[in-house]
This record gives sequence, C-alpha cells and structure tokens, in this order.
Amino acid sequence: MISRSAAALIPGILAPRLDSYLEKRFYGPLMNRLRIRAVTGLLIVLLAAPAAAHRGSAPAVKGTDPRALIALPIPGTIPEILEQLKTRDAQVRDLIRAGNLSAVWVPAFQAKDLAIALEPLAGQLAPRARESAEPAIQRVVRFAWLLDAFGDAGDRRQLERAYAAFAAALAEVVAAFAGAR
Amino acid sequence: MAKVSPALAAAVTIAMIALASTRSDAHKPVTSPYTFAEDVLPIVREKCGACHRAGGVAPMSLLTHAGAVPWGESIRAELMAGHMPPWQVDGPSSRFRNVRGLTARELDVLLTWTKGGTPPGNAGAAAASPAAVSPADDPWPLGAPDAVLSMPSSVTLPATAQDRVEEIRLRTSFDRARVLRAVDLLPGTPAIVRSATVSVGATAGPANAQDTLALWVPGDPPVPLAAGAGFLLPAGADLVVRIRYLKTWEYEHREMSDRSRVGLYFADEPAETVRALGVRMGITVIGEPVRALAVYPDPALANAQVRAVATRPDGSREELIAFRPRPGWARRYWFAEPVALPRGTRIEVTGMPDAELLPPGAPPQPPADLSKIRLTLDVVPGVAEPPRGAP
Repeated sequence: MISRSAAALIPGILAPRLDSYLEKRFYGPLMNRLRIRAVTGLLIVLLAAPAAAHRGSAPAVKGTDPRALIALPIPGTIPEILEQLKTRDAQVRDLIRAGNLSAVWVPAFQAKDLAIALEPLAGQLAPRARESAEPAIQRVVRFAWLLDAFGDAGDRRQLERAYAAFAAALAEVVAAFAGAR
Repeated sequence: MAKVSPALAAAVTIAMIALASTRSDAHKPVTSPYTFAEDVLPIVREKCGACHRAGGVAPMSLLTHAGAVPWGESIRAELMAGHMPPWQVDGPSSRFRNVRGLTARELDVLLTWTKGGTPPGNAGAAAASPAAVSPADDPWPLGAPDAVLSMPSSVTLPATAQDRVEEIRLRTSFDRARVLRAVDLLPGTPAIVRSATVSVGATAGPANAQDTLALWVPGDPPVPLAAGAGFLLPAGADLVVRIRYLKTWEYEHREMSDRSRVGLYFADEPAETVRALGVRMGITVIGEPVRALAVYPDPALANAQVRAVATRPDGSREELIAFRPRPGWARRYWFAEPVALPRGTRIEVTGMPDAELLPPGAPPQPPADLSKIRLTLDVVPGVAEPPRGAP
C-alpha cells in the first residue's frame, strides 16, 4: 500500500528515472522517445491525481487537517494576542494586494482562532467594551470564513469587501481589549 | 506490442494501488477536528433544535447525523450569510432578553464541521448526551396559561396549497377588562405553522396593528412582562390571530390541518398598561417620559439594515437596536432592562438596503421596501422629570 505522501513523491522522483530506464533498456534513443514520454506521462497523471486531489488546488494544504497545518500557538496574554491579530490583518491585506487570493485563508483563519481565544475573556471587560467585543469577535469569525470562500472562488471584488468588514471587526476587537491584560 | 515489459507492468500496478488507496476519500476528505456527536449536536440541539427537529417547522432535522449531513452546504451558506440562527441583531445580544445567537466559537465549530467532511464522531456520545426538551414535553414554556382559547375549527390546507395566511377571530368571555403579562401560541401542527401575530380586535372589524399582543415565530420563547406592567385586553374584545401556514418539501402535495391554541397569562393588578409607540424613518421626539420595554419592526420589512438611536435631552445617546429584519421573522426584541426615554428624547431611525455579503452561490436578496421601515416601541409611563429649579 502506498501512502499519500509517497504517492505524491512518485511523480517527481520516480518518473524521470523510469523514463531513463525504459529508454536505455527497451527502446532506441530516437524512434521511441515519443512513446516513452507518453507512457511516463500517463504514469505521472495517474500517480499525481490522488495526491493532487488531497492537496487541493490553490489552497494547497486543505486536504489535511487545516488546524494541524496552520496550528498557531495562542499567546498567553491579551496584549500578545492583539499584536498577533494586527500581524494577521496585515498579512491578509498584503496577500490580497499581491493577488494571492487563494492563500488569504491562512492568516484569516489564524486571526479567527486568535479572536475566538479572546471570547471567554470578554467577561473581564467593562460593559461597554464587552458589548462591542462580543459581536465583533463573531464577525471576525464569519468574515474569515467568507474570505476563505471568496479566495477559493477567486472573486477579488467580494474578497476586498469581505476584507474591509473583517479588518473593521478586528479593529473593534483590538480597541475593546486595548486596556486589558 | 506482443509483450508488456515487467517494468511497465510494475509501474501501472503501483499507479493502480495508489489510486485505490486514496480514491475512497478523495472527494471530500475529513479535515474537521469537530464531530457531530461530540461538538455539533450539543450546539444545534440548544440553538436550532426548536425548529430543526423531526416534525418541526424547518425543512430538515439537524438532530441526527444522517439528517444534517445532506444539508451541510446549505448550513454553511446560511451561517456565512448570517441568516441563521434568525436573530438578526447586529449589536450585542446581551442587550436583549430573548436573542440567542451563536457564540463565535459555536459558529466556527459548525462551519468547520460542514466544510471539513461532516464526520459523525462517536454515536455513543450522542446517545449518552441529555435529550433535547421536546415541545411535546413542555407545550407552554411559561407554564399552564390562565386561559386557553382554541381556534373554533381546524384550518385545512389542501394538497394544492403551499403557503397561506389565515385570520381567525377568537371570542373572549371575560366579563371585565384583563391585563396580560404574556400571550403565547401553541401550534396544533407545528410542522406548518410558520409565524403568527395575536392582536386585540374590536368585537367586529379588523384588528388594530397597534394592539399587537404577540409576534410568534418558532423557536422564540415567550417573554413575560415584568411585574407591574401588562397588555390591556378590553372586556368583550376579540383576539385576532393571523397565522402564516407554510408547507416544507416534506409535506408538499399533502392535505394538512391545524388547530392552534392561544394561551393568556394574566398580570397581577393593578398594572401599568403597555402602549405602542410608532417611530418611522427620521426623527421622532418623545412627548411624554416613557420606558421602552421592547421594539419590533413592521412584519413586512425585510432585507434592510435598520438602526434606531435615542438621544436624550441631557445629550446621552443609546442605540436601541441595530438589526437586519429577514422575511418571515418579525419578532419582538425585549430589552434586557427598560430603556428610559425622558420627554424630549429624539429617536432617530435610519435604514438602507441590506448590503451584507453573501457567500458564493447564495441567491440574491430581493430589494428592501424602505417605506416599510417602521418600528414600534412597547412603552409604559416613565418617571416625570422634576421641574427645573426644583430642589
């Protein structure tokens, strides 16, 4: 039984060697080159297909547990979490500017997890800050998922709209927790 | 070719094995660390189970894995659009007594599960967790009503009818005016009773929209008024019950009947009478001091973003509500604490078409009719301010 990771390696490692071996062992160097390329090409397609299916296309790591791949240690203090949130916000913005839409979900989901970590701490806030923080955290989560969806769809216009709402919600979260320790 | 080379045969064999080893889960790999039994069921049972249960008004039960999985994509779209759960308050839910949205974590669990392969988890965990309270076990959430009025006869939706509004008049037989602290509706056939309003009607003629006693939607528990306040039910008045019946796909082309009941809960008297204060788009100035207990929209208002802010004479401002009414979900939003609105308070209501982002593939919303932006505040008399210069 071939594991997924091994299957993923085969096209890159085995195919050229197989190509060379077949050429030397069975066929003449010129007449049969096209046939050899066809055979090895078929192998590459066959072997790559399942691995690609697991990797997904643009969001290349979605075939495995995203949490394992983007696992983010949640900092121990609120100020550190807020700093991380600002960093993820900047990363999302930069990815959109660079046109790397399918990668936006990684920092967006990291921000979402950071915001969720703040949710149980909202009880420590003053009532007015808490009233602002709780719905803002919820919006961070919802818009992170919308960023993921629009990124997958390659819809830049909607992605930018979602980012505007996402960034506004993040700013509300940061403001609400600004004085908290 | 007469012979197949051993190397080629081996390579093809490897390819077939590789395909076979992965094909079974290549379509939708399980990536969710959350499972139905351990993580999803406790959430949907508490937050969605009043409607999304077998025999409920929603078109699917979410209380079993087999029932929920086929709807995974729909669940995800509704959650991302913010349409479900249907409490459309944009601000903090803690401001209201009867708004029960999802927490951020709960929202994330459901979305992760729906996108991540909808794993079932340990069926034993689901079986071992406490059973949901069935409406059949608890027909009247506020306890037995002081009076129950039944529809005089069943309403029957023929097989050809899918969606219908029925207005039913219920005679009261009280020999004097009564003050009500709560009014509830108990559907006879919950699967088709989609929403209802209960109003005070004169002995003849149409109901007065200003005397709305209850805006009933499934899953929204009745909220009793605090002691000392109540809705006035004049002696001899009828109750007018407008029920919207809607069949889900499960009941299409089937004749269905319903005979709902209305439960009345009397307030201890004497009690201040709640009256309706209408506010429209723009600014309304409060003429007499009041305390607002609840707010609700025109039932026809949908797909708009509406915000009402009170500015008191002393300059203090308070957002009363910011919400996005959805079609079919008109309801009362009960303030957690009465909101004092002194004489001269300006209530500004603003509204615009709902421009909320919808996930890819979601159907566009019909345009909002902004002329329907009318809110009603349930108010009781407030404390009059002392005259200027008084000690």
